[in-house]
Amino acid sequence: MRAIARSPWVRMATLATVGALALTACGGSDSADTTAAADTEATAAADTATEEAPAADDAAATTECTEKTPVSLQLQWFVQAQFGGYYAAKDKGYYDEQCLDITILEGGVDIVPQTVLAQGGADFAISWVPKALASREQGAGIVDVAQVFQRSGTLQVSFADKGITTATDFKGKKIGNWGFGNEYEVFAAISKAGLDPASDVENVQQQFDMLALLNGEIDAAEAMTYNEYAMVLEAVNPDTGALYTPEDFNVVNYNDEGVAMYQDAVWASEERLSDPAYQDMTQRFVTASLKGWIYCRDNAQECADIITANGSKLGASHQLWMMNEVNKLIWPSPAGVGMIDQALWDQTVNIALNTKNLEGATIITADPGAAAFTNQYAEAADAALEAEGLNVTGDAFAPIDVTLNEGGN
Amino acid sequence: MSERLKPVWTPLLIGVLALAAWELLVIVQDIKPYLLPAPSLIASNFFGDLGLMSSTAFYTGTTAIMGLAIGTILGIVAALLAVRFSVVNNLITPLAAGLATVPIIALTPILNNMFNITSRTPRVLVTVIIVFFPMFVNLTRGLLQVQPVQLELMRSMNASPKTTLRVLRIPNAIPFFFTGLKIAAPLAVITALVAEYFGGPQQGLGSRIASSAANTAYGRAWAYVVASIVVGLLFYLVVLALERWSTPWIGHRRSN
Amino acid sequence: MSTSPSTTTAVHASGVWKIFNEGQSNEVTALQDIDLTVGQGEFISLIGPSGCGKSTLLRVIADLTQPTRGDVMVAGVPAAQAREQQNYGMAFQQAALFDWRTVRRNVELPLELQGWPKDRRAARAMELLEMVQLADFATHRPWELSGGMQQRVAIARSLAVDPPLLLMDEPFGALDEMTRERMQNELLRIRQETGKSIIFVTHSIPEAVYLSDRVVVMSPRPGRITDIVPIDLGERNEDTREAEAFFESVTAVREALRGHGGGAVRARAGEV
Repeated sequence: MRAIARSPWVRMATLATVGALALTACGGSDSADTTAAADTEATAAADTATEEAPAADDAAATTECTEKTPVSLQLQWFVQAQFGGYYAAKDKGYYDEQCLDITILEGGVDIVPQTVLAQGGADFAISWVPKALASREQGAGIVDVAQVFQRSGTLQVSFADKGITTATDFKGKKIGNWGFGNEYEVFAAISKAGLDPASDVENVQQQFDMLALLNGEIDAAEAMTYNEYAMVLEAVNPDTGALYTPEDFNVVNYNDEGVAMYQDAVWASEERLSDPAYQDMTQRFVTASLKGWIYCRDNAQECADIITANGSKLGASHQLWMMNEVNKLIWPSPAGVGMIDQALWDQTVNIALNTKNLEGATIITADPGAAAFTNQYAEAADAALEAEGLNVTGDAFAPIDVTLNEGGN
Repeated sequence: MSERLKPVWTPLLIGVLALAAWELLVIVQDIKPYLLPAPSLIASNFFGDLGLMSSTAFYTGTTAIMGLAIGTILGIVAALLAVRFSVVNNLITPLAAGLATVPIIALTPILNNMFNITSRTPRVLVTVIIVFFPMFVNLTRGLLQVQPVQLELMRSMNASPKTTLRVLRIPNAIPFFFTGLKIAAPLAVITALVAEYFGGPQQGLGSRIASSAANTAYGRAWAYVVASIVVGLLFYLVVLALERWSTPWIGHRRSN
Repeated sequence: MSTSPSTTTAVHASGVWKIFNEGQSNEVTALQDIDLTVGQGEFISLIGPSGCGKSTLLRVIADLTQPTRGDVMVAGVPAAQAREQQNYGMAFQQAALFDWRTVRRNVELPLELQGWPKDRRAARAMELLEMVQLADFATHRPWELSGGMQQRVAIARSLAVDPPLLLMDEPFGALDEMTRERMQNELLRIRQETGKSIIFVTHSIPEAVYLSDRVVVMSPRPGRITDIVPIDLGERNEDTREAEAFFESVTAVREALRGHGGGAVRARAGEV
């Protein structure tokens, strides 16, 4: 072994192997440039070489489409109503209208959507803003081009008898969070309430179910309004034999606590945004997607059905609940759907910059700057959709009543 | 320059060269941290907060030791029973083999739901289950694999089965015990770490690796990985030292 | 000379049969109707080709296995009782020392099992090691000793409880020729000092002749005694192996093995 190890050939082979491995890791960047823009009139119209927004009527696909441009979207999780707008847009032909041939890529436990985007595995990705900003700081070139969710959907749910109604009540309690980078709103709320996360609160990582809360092992559990909260309302209360009701619980809403961070947004590749063809694709994609979200706002049940038809395993009532709750996070969008509000962006950045978790780490260490997001595509999309006669602010939006059944069926 | 490199220098040299090549690659190819962090970034994360690294490692290490100890004791008890009652051996071996093949990622959520997720218990239990099989198998083998001539000798000296166990089988089994331990100890560390992915207290290596990775902070994630390697190595080296001390004849040809 | 077997007979085997897998298709008769008497203080060798049953016979005498038919008396009591009373010591082809014990503690083993107290054990063990000239190695470990030395320790161990009978199954088989001859002299010396009876299994004709008072020749399929050759060489010394009488005895045994021997089984009870 010694003789072999001393051989210069082995050393060279080692270097070569390490080199080869690393090269394959970064070799993927060019693979997605297959979206060679077909010579459609839509792209010809986007011949503005600068980064100015294309003219409004280009976004409204009244032009003829000879060959659709392939587009891929990487979701953040599995198929569910959280991504209703995109599936509705696909189903209702809105992407076709924009001369786009859409492929929606499902997410999963190990899929990091913004990395997939940055490496060229998809043209666009859905990701929460804080995690996307963290990736951006580590070199992933991505830009927020449509802030779909206007509000945070994160709650801390607890049984009513614990009396936990605001973050100050976390003191001395067992507070659950999901870890995996989802813990920052919780920690921000704890800090804002003047508590020390390390000593005033017992932090426990939950699994992606609500059993720890229902078993009484933790006092308050992290939950999304549209998903995990429904899980507890679909569970049977052993004392009554009927389902739990909202009166059985208290919820702490992180928007109300003032520590909400922006969540689901559409991200695009920063590098490709200097290419007019990609700019045009982005515009068309955003327009069609937002139109899909408008459809889901006005047709929640149909949208839920579209999701189920696309392979979601969630039960019917759970799916409708999710659709409805997601609508509540999007609508109303006072400035128009997909627009970023500077104040909430700044709050997001601020928390990401300053909130420490138990390791003492923050999400980002430097302000991402203005280049991290843009409103130009959402603005143009809203204008185009309004011109079609659609309501883009949802000012008259009223959520529906959803009855949950056991197990979400 | 010495012509004969000592055995330990050569692998060290290769390791250093590999790290250097890695660093060079990241610089030359301008590989971004979200794809592949440079060794220098990992090092600065690791040495930048050694206190955090060691407290995190200590937490997971404690889970591992508890699981290792309990799993080993259970393995010893089961092995002794298996020698005494061959029916036990026939029962436990397939059962243990079956349990050992259930992946940690399947066992942990189940145990998390059965036992209090806010405590260490589910993680220790997973570790116990994973550790039990190699310990049991090796110990049983050690107790049973005595030479026929040694058994004849014991019988010729009118030794009872109990005496044979005490005087022959158990000392004979000690090298096998360490063989099992050399497998089980690093396994305990890995199990304790992976079990932390599924919920519970968050001060351990597994939780923090997952959290850092989710925030694309790969430099930090890899620093924790380095810490896990250190813990695993430590466990292994301790077992190795114990083995050397208690079975000095291992390096030599057996006397028969 | 009529002598009562119980006082002057070390081993008395009568009508011993050992059949493996009796009644089955792979039935083997390892021993057929063995009659053998070993007198007090006699040195007997069992010799024969593979499968002749010599090791089996030794094990029947040692009560390591039971005969299918017949009985074995050792020092006047049944073999099983003799084993329980530790009336014999045994040595095998492998020294079978325990690596985790020192040389001295290996020799102490039979005494430990008999419940001897620590000091007595240690003293006796040292005595025995002196006898085999390995006292300097008392605190060594088995693997530090050569093959021949390990066998000497094994012999010392077999003498620990001072049994009247030694059973030895090719103990020098794994040693080289020079060591072997040295060990043979050692064994004879020990026997002279202690007056014990010895039953010795071997493959080697010169060894059998050199060591024994009588050589019991066995043959296989079925295993049986075909001849018993008396050896009359007097006191052994360095010239013995080159003496004419030695070669004559070797030839006699060889002929017996080939089946050309006297034919009649010459068994003499009680003669030394």
